[in-house]
Amino acid sequence: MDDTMLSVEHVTMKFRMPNDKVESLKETVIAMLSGRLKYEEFTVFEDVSFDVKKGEVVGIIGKNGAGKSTLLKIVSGVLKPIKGKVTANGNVVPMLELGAGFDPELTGRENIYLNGSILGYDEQFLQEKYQEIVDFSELGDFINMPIRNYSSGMMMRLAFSIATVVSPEILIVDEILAVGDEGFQNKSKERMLELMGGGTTVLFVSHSLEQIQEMCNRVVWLDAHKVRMVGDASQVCRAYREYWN
Amino acid sequence: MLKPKTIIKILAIYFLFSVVFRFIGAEQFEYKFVTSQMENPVGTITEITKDIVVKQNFLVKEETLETIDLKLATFNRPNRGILTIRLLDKNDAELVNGAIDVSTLQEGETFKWVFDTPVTNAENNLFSIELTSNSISGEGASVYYAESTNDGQTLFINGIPQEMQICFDYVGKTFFMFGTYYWHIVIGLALLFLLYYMWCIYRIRSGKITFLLIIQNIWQKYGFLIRQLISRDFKTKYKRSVLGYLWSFLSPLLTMMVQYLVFSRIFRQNIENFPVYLLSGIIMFNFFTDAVGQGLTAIVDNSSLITKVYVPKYIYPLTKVVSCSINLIISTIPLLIVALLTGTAITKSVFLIPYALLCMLVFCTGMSLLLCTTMVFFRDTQYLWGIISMVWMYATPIFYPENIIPDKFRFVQTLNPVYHCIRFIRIVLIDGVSPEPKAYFFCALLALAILAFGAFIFKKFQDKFVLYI
Repeated sequence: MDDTMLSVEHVTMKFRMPNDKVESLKETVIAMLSGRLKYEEFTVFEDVSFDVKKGEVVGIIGKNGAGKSTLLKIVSGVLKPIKGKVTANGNVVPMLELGAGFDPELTGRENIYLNGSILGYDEQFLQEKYQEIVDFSELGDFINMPIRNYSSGMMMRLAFSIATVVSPEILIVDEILAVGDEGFQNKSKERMLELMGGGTTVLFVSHSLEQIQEMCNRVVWLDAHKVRMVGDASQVCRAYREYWN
Repeated sequence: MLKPKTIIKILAIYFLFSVVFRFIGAEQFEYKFVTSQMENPVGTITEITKDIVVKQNFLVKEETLETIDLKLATFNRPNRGILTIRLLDKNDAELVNGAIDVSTLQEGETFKWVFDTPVTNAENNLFSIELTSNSISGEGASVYYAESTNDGQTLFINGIPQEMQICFDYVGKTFFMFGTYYWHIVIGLALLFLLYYMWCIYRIRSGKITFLLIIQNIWQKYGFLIRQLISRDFKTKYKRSVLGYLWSFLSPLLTMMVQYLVFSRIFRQNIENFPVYLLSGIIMFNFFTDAVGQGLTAIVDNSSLITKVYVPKYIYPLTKVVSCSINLIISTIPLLIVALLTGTAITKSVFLIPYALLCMLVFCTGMSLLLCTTMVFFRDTQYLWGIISMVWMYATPIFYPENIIPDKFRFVQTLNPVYHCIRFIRIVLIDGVSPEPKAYFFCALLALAILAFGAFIFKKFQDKFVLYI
């Protein structure tokens, strides 16, 4: 049986960038009239292909601007590639920048449902997991307060709990942020490891090679608009280290 | 896919609505009364005595002829005798006759001659009014005349054609296709729906996707999100204000009071029930600016989500507009209260108000889709919209009467969906009857046209949003 959860086939991404970022009508008209509105083709990467099997944790590494985040956006369906296609067998849930999609005027409870629905969970599922989320976030009675009154640590704890307590089929993580105090940091790290070890397919971008090596089964190395190397985590990481030295 | 049971339910609800709709629409769906234009009087024709025969030809454009109005003259003296008035068809056969005792007439009085039984099949036929009298000279009455309009209307005095016409108008009924064929249309639409359903089943059996299925899938997948976003907007709208939702009542009422104080001196004489007239305009237009103003920034404001999570992007402007419409529904309550307080009888036609609200919702969704797209590429849209919505407000008859707009600018009204929806509500509330079928058609057509255009533009550019926000 084919247990490929995610397959990326020959994906090419290019941006057509105007020379200057033109944001107003006046500027565009002036630029067009004076013939300065030229576009520059900017290739992020070409012909990227790899598969992710069920339960695998795949890391993506590469230097700044190699297109790691762009690749994640393509996988989560936010960006459409110029060529190639991405097939996902399951719901793709991105771990949001902590706090994105929260409404400060709503209570913690209401935000759990709001944020959960944005991430694609249905009502029944969230009701089942609600208590678990509240418990994990250690917010207690604060859950019924508008979150504008939360401290930044509390907000992050809530966000992290929503993103991770519900275990999605494919999780997309763009840099794990250590949140909260020492205790919660350990707990969240543990939770991430548990999640990654527990059958969830994860696509993971990080600059920290230790984290990658610790958590990933396989690694994709993006460099110079191409996939430079795909393979076993320790192998690719070793090559990546050598490249930098 | 929808089960046959659901389809039967849908059809049952549809037929129930059709019956109720027919009942509310009543005679307004079948015909309307049209009154022809009475020309301005210039003077009086000769005194009508026993040896004078006045005969005015005229062409009827309506299907029936029910009433004729004549402007009579007495020369400001007591008269005696009977003025006989006859309606003749084109072969000079008498259709109706009547008599006026000239001694009871007032100078310049408009005589209303209502036929006991209307003349039918009158459309595009030539008729004539014949006036004779048994008065002797010096005691006869007369009629006012106006300049000839030269459209098949000729005045004969003793058989001699004159370069003028008498001051008169007529009232006739025009029938609507919609009312005449109402049940045909209802059944036809039901059959079309059934056919479409069968076609969908056939398509699905052969493994293809259909529009109905797409809608169903979207609702299954994103229904919860849509509900969450709407309730978020609604909950946070008045979150930190003391009066909260009361503002949905108060804000249009207070605006109405201010505008009433300012404009009542200028316009109230020409407008029946000025408070309701004002308030209906204010509520609808407020919704329009509110919904479009919020829908406009929906994409840009949610940029942090759009660049991370895949959700169909139209959900953001759509939910903004829908949550504003909840506000609109709340603010129809003060409208009904004001209508009651000002002594307007609330009739069964109030049940038609949701139709106008629905058309506004569709229209505003279209506008939001269009403008939030341009907003992504040109942030100037926001400021431009401030100006455009102001111009739009002055172009819509909210606080001034509809007819003060000169004819050559009338197209501004005809093309303005907000105007049609406001007019719809005003007819329903102030006149207490259903508008003519054309009004329904205009509301829906303009709203759907804008929606289609907005959706097209949105769809065309939505993949580029991520690059620009």
